[in-house]
Amino acid sequence: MSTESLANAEPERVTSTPPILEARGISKSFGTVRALAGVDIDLFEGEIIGLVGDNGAGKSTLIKILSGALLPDAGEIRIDGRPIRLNSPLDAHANGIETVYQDLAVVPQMDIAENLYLGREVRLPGVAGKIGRIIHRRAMRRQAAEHFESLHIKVKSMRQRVDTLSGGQRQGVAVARSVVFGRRIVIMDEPTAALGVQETQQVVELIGRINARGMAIILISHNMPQVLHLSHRIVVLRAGRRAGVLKTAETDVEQVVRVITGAEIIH
Amino acid sequence: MPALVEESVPAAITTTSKPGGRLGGLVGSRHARTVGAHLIAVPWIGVLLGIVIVGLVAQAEAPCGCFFTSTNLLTTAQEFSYVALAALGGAMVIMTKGIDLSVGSSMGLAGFLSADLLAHHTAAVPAVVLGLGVGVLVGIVNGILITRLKMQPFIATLGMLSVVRGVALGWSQGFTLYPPLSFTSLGQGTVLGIPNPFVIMLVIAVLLSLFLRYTPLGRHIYAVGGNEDASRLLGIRTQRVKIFVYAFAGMLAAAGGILLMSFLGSADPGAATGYELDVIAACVIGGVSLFGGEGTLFGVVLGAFLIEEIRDALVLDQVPGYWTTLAIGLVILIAMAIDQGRRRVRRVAQ
Repeated sequence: MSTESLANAEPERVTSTPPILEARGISKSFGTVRALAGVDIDLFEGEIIGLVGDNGAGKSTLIKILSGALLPDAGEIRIDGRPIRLNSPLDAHANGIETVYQDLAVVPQMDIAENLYLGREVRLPGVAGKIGRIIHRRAMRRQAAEHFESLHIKVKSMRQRVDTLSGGQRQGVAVARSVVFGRRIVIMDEPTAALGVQETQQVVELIGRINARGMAIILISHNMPQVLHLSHRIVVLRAGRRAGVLKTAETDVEQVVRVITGAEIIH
Repeated sequence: MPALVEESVPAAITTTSKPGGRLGGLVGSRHARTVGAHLIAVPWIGVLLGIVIVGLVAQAEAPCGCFFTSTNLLTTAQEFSYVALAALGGAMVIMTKGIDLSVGSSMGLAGFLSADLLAHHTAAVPAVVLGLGVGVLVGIVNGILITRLKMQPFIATLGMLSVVRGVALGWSQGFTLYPPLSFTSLGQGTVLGIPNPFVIMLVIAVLLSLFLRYTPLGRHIYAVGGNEDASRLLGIRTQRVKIFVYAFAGMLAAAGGILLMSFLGSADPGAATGYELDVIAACVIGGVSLFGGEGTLFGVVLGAFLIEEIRDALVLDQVPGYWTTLAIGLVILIAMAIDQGRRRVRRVAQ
């Protein structure tokens, strides 16, 4: 699937299937500040939604809640129609949700393979792995290399330290985690904010590639052309509320900006 | 006399820093580049060179010509093992971006506690186990202060340095204890002619190196130091990892303190005062970055050895002992400068 066609493609879905991820009435306050006031969001199988809004609109709070890093004050989250509770990032992982953070959740001093499997190391088969808890470095490198190959992320070697990689390659490591661990939902917080033009292009292509494999994606970005290019629908947050949901194919940058700023009210 | 200092100390400077080789390596020939790359990637190579050169200079300068004799080398091996043992734990703490200033006090208290138990007819094994246990306890308290009460590791362990030393001093009322003579066989004995403390330290160093390299928890120690937030988000229980390293550091410090007490045949409540600085120096010289996430225990052992070797060399070369502190201080500064340089070169290389 080429990334160019994404903007115009409606996700193929049967309307009767429930959303893969469904959040209802999510609210969160920090002291007297109401960060989120009853926000709803649906994400369907194979869909990319752009989550946009001005600074302070509540995007970060919402994705922290969806990735298990924050507990909401009120609201319900469902996966495949089944209510779940996300008390920690581990709960999110267990429910198939991976988050790619803006500030790159990688350990610079460790190599690519180790970063990929950090916290979920592959262990040796048999007693050595079960009781001795010995990790299987070679297997991790081999599997990591296969995944990088299939995702077209070009690096010299899986033994390369992450601090020797470019920003785009580092994002690649973080994105590859979601593929390696068979996630169905990836939340990406400003994945290209810190990247140059060429690296941004690489990451955009990567997003298209994992979406083509059926991964549903929530993309948070300030880059409107990018959101319009990649997403199927756009969810706009304003002052902690959902200001509107736009079909990407039926909107343009100007309208999205009007909704973000409150110049246009839709529902 | 000062001439000797000038000759032996700068020898360590040129070998451990290798400014020409390192920077030249980046811009020079392909061969020079790989040498430079190795010096950046493998900090202990520089330390090893330093050890060799300090040894050669000491041999040449010592009136007795006795640096490279088995007696001298075995004595040095014996004497650096206590600090090296504590430094293995200290290094794991520093790898998590922490610091443990309480290890010297833990050494003193553990040695004193074990000696007191032995003097009151406790069998050797329980006496040692309880001595190690007090080290673990100190480490757990450090870990809780740092993770639960969110104290800076420097401040928390500085407080514990005083608290733990205070317990030893208050309990002893300043008196030195003497364990039964039979217990000295642990610290003074040898295996195939090699001093026990050195053998014990080396075995633990090898096992711990394998642990750090080949187990999930070992890797998580580096991960927590390299990027704590990322580690937490990836599901690593970072607080547990930290409590573990402080507890382990406390236990290894206690092991060093008990061996020292056994070797000396006495337990002075002020024993090992200031050793925390030697421990940190050994780590830094051995290439454990204070910025966390990096370092090898092999480097730490070499770092601890280099410190003791410089002390020994200066004694054999008949340099007044007052200069030793200066020499070690300079080596620490050089090691820090190399660590900074290494980070800068890495950034440039990106």
